[in-house]
Amino acid sequence: MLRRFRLIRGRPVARQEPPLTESVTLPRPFEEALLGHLDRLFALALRLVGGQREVAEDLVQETCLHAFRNYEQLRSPANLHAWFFRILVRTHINAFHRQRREPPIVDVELSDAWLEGASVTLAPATPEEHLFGQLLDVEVQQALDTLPVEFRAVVWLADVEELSYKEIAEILQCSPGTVASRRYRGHHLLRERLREYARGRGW
Amino acid sequence: MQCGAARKHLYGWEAPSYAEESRLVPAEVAEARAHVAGCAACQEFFAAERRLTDFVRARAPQEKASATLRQRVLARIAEARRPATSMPYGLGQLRRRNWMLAMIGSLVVSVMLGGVWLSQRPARITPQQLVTILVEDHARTSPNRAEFTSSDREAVQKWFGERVDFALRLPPSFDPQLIGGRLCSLKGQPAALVFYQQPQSRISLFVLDGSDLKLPEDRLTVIDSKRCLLDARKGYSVVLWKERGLLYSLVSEAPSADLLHLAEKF
Ligand SMILES: [Zn+2]
Repeated sequence: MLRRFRLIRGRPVARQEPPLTESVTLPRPFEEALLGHLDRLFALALRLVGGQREVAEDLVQETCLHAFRNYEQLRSPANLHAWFFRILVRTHINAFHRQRREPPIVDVELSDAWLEGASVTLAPATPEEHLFGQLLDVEVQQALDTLPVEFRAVVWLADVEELSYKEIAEILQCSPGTVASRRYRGHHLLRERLREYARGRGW
Repeated sequence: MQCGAARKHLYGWEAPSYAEESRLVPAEVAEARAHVAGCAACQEFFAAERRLTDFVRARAPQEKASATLRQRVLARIAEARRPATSMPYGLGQLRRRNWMLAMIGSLVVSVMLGGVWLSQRPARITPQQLVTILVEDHARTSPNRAEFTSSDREAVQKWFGERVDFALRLPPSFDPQLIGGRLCSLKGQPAALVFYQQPQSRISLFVLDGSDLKLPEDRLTVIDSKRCLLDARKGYSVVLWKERGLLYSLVSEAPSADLLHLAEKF
């Protein structure tokens, strides 16, 4: 192919006007930041609304608008994911608390007596856990989605997103001790739900 | 220390960082660790917690945001970016209110009935406006901002296939080197941006839904079976054409005749 443009130091030269000025070369940081987090936002939204796709999509859209309007006030972009999650959780509480059917959980701190009584089976991987592994994806999803939303949120953020108690505490606006307690109770309840599914299959 | 106390201290304990761990471990946490080190029941308690965490992580639903959701979100933000004052006769206010109502309405409807989305179409733009936007986007978006980097045509097509509603086709025999691509929003309309590089210039290929855009029939240049609109702006050449309902556009510092030649390959 013929190359018909002039070259100065290896770079093509604009033929009519100088190259576009700085004002139009600004990046679009918000959209960029957002698209990088959209999958994680949607996954958390889907868990918060108990697996209803359309509702989760609406929630994510609302969240994105709130985030867009507050983006300029964001001071530490290092914790962008936590910032997006916090807005998502707040949007969820504002938009959905009226439709809420389940009563809110009562938070309790972890206590010695309670943990002392935790049933522990001394085997490297118990047969029960082996049965959990045989459950269908949809059963695991339902077991997770029927936990009280406070537990569900903590289990998701701690176990799947691998955030620290401190980060989760900031997202959910509670103390790190409450996060630890909700995670433990969430695990306890999740085991029971998984057990019910396993029993329902006659195992 | 008893089992219950040891479990409580370790369950809630989280070192701020590895570097600070040695200095900051409270006495009761150190004591709890010493207990667990010698207690099989406590070791199993924590092992079971870890196994459940691994189970949740491995089996948790892995659904990603749909291409439609990406598009809607980008369209919404583009809408929010657009200043209300730029619309004549107070239309901006009116539109904004309608749009808010539509959004609230759809939230309520989808919560109550299980989901009907009232979609908001991006505003119609003229080919002239589009050319200006494409040139600005080409100028500010260099290939190092690719969200996906690959010289494999199929891989790039597949990447976009998971993110946009339309199926774009890239030409199999094409001289310029394929670099990768990213999503972009052109006046609120989601578009695929594919980066190509040739020795002395780079080329941006934009692909978007072209159903809203009418090309001026009397100004089109016909090559092969394609009817192309040629334009130049700020030292950049632009070639636009429609194919299977999609709008394709090549933008580059290279002369428009070169781009026209490349358009034939599609
Ligand atoms: Zn013990």
